[in-house]
Amino acid sequence: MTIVRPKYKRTLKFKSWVNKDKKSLAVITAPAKEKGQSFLKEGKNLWNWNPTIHRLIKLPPSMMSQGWMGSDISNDDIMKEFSLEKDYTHHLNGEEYIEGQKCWKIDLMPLAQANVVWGKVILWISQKGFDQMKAEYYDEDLYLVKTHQASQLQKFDDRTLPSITVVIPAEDPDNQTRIQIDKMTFNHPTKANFYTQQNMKRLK
Amino acid sequence: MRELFKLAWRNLWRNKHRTWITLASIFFGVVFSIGMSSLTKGIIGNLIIENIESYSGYLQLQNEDYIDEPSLDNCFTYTKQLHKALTKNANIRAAVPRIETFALASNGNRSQGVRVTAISPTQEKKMANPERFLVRYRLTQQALALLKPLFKEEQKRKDLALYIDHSYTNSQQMLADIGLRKAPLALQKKALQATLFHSNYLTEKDEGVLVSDALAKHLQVLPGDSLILMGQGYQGTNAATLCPIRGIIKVTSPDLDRRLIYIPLATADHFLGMEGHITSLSLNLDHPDRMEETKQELTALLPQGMAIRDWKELTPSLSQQADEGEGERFVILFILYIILFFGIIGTLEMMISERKKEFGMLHAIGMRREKIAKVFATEISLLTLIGLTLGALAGALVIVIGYYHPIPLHGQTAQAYSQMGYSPVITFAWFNDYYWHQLLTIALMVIVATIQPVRHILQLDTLKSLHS
Repeated sequence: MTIVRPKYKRTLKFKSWVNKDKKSLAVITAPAKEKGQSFLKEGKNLWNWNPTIHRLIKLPPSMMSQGWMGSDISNDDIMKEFSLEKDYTHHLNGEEYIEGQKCWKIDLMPLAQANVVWGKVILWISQKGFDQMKAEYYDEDLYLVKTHQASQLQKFDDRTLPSITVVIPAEDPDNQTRIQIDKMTFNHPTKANFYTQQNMKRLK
Repeated sequence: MRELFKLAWRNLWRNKHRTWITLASIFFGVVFSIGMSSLTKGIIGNLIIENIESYSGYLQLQNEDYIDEPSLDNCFTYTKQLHKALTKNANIRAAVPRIETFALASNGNRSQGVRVTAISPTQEKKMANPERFLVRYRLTQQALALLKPLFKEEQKRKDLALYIDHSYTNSQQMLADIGLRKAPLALQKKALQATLFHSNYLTEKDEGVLVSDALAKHLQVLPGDSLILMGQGYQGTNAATLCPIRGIIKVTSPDLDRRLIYIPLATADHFLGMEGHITSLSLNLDHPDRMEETKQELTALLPQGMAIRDWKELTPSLSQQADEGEGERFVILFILYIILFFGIIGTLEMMISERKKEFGMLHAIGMRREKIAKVFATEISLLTLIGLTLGALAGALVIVIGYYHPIPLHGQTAQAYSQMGYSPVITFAWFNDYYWHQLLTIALMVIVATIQPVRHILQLDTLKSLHS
């Protein structure tokens, strides 16, 4: 993950795991100063283990709107629990080419009873592999908040997916966060106690 | 001329009573206005010394963006060349590097947002010198239990409870608070032993920190305990560290006392990942009154992207507090001047009406009106001269005594002062322009007050005044 700011650029490396119950775990592997910090998402809670101070911290609501590890992806984004399928109405709005891929442009408006953050989402889905090539997120006043741009389709295991995602906040176009997936495996077997607070401290 | 003087002098002492009253009003006017000015100037000066000279510095070298966005990212590299170039200026007394940031301090379930100030422990002795703020005595529950048997009077024992958990940086203030300042030495020694508190200062390579008194009480930590500091480091890194507490400091400003942590530069550099950058260089001056000039001279030396900020930009609230103090002084002086002015006019008018017959007689036997007016004016001038001289001397005495013997406050008055951000001591300012301003203003006032009586004399109606 590379975080770009007008005055500097910073790159972090991390590994992450997700299971079927939507539990997930991430551990920072570089740079050395931040190595070993891990995050556990479990239901509605986000836990952070910091090896320098030997403390396990549950991120408070006040920190939810802050960027994860200083990036443009907020802790809230990581925690989001909504379904693009169940919480939105969908409306096809033409075809466009993104990164050389012919895409369906789909407007998504949230359902009245849906518990979601966005006022509107526009998705560009490739017609060939059904990959999400671009997404625009709008707030309740329909102002653009951020854009996700995917590129570099690559084969991981048995499937082809975009390997790079760039997040650009609409308010500061000079800032961006670029996530590059180096390696991804599917159906990776994990032990029963893998997604636990105890395991967070052991991860490498 | 001599004749004029002789007449005036004799006239003055013909009615001693009246002369003394007029003299006294001028004398006290001068003494009060000088004393009052010296006092308020002293208190404001002390406020500036406490907060500026021994904390932020008169000037600070910063990244030019730091003032609008005080983030660690707006830092700079402090080189030896820059240090040399800046300290060449004759007005620079001290220049110390610092990193300032905010973090969360936590101990167990207690946490507090704090102001982390990274200092070089040895260089900082020339500036804030946190060592002198180390808490040496504290009236803990146990200490009070030990102290109680030392007092015979029931009332004094009860009074002790008022000072529970108070911390002191010196023995004198503590002894004064608990009422043992004039007690026998043996008793004082016992009291000091009972309340002794162990705080240490930092060393250059220390990994420990100094915590301000109120903050330490809130977090329930003592020297020897550890504290977690968490925050954002340089360029958005996660910064977290566990550091031992070396000492507790009692800072005069109550606001700072609730949130200040001193940490050695090297440790902070590692904790925040600063890669050798600092956020500010604090500068103290030999002549604070030449601050503007020095600021301009230094600004000329700076590389692109750097700026020199003065304390008025850095702490606008303090600048306002100082202005407010000065404003108060003017209001009080103004009231004093009005009272004095009308007092003088009153005595002069009375003098004229009392002496109407005398003036009429003088005119009748051949003295010209102008001459009478001249004699009168000379009388007033003599009075003013004597009054001002005596007042100036007495005022100077007040300044000298007040300057060399500041009055320390203790107990609840001291607390009230501290809460306002002033240090609990009444100080007087040394001689300065304000001293001459008072003398000049009062002299001018007397001159203005003399105009009307002199005009009266010049328009003297001989017959009417003889019959009055």
